[in-house]
Amino acid sequence: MALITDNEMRMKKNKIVYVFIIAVLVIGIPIQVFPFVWLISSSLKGAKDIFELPPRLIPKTFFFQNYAEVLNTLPLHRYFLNTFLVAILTILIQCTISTLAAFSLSKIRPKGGRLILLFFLGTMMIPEQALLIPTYLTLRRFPLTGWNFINTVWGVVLPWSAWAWPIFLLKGFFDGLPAELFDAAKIDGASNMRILRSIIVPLSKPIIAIVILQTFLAVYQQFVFPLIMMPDSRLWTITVAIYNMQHSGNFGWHLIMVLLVYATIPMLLVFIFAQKYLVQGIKLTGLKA
Amino acid sequence: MMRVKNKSETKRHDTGRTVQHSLELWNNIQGWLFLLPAVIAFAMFKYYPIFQGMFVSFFRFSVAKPPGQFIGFQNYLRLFKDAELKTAVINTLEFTGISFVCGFWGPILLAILVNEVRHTKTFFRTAYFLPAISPGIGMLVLWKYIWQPDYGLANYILSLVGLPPQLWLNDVKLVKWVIFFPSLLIWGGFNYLIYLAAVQDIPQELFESASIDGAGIMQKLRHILLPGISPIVRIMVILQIIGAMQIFDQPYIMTGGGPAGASETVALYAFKTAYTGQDFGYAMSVLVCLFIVLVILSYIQLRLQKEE
Repeated sequence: MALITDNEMRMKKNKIVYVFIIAVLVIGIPIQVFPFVWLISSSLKGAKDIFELPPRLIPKTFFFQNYAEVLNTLPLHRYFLNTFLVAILTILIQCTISTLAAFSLSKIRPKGGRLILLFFLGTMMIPEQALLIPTYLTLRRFPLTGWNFINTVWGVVLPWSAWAWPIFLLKGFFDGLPAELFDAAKIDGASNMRILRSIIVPLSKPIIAIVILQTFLAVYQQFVFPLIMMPDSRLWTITVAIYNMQHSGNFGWHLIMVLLVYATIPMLLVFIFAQKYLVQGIKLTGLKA
Repeated sequence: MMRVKNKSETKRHDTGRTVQHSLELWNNIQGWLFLLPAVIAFAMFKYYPIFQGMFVSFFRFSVAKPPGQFIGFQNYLRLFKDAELKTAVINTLEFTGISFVCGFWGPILLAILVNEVRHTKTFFRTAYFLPAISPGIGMLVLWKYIWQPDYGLANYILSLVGLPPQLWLNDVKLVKWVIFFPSLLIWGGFNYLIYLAAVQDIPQELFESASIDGAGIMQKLRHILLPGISPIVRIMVILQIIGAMQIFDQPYIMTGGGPAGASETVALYAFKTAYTGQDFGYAMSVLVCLFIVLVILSYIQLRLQKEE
């Protein structure tokens, strides 16, 4: 693993190298951490103090009321509600669709399955931007039915139902499950649906957790799709609200920083409570992407 | 191999085959039923839109009466004469270059260094991952504030070191680097974890036996560690290029493409053409070209992966 083996660590020269490595890493940390310190510090400054020169790291007076002011002036609960509604619907629909598809490709293996896998994976090359405009046109007037999904949650949720990445992740995991499990259940007369529900899914909890987590993070952070598909201010998600508040110009930087702190909280919680899955998920991205 | 002896056995054998056959058919039908929702979703929200987009790119789009008037390849011919698009293409390539120069080495180096740490690995892992735990849009807005020329933190830090203040986001020369900086931190935090996983996958015995043979740190780095992670590095390079070619959020939020088009990218230009200019047909012709370039890059990536 490490370049310097334990034996070599006993040599003085290598100890110096090791100390040097730690020093470099420690020096790098402020660059990563400081923006957050600055974010919190700015969110606690007054409307005038924010323009003060030279800027202070620790505010002259702490304006904790900024946090209340944002809550009072903005329907923050609605932004969060919209965001979570989109996230939950997306996760439900997408996880179901992906699990069914991955199970079929991995264990039932119908004729033409390989082709369908390519049909799914091929879409990963399509840039998001190239899809944005035609998806908008499609959702504004849905083929055959003529439904208009613009300014509905579905305008953002439905496009997510076709995401090849979770199918790929799930299929990879299902492939690794021993075939005997599946065959034994099959001989016992269990239907595919039953096998999926009572054998595959319980065994696949870790990977499903990773899929849910990655979907949540992607949906929570998405910006252009909700901006275009749900322009109505009652439907704004938290990222769209941040953008619009910042862009409107009549919202002070200190209040925008408060908004950013609020927006970070859910992700921070996810990071704290699901760090294991988060890190595993990122590693999978590297090993398979 | 069963040898068929008489008529009745042949018959039984046939029934067996039919049963086998219908079982297989039933299996196929079930398999397809499980696939059906996904197939519909992909057809509806990936393939239909992208083909519709290609279709629209041959039209002078009319919002009132879509798709409007068919004009053949005129949108595509227009691409070559469009000076603004040319700037956007050059900018996008420059962004790709920056992403390569700055975003590429950092995470690898970081992964190698963190891998050496013996006791507080989790601490460093968490610290360097930090920029990725705030919504990306939020980080961009935060940095927009930090880069403000009059009261921003960046100029204050420069003044502490005794350097003249800069215009940052309003500086034609600096803007690309400045816009990209926060993303480097965010992506860096992600990519470095990927590299770290790759470094940790290299068997420790290789290093041990190399050091018994008298190999120094640099030799081990060059002959064991770097070759060990090179497959993943190659893939990441292509992925990074693909990501950089699509840059949109950064200029859209921080500059809107300014100053004087210095941070306008292809994706941003297409977006503006579509939603400000209502010229969906032309915007799609830009994006179809971008799409083709990305497909070629993805193909290269797949080839690299196959080689692995």
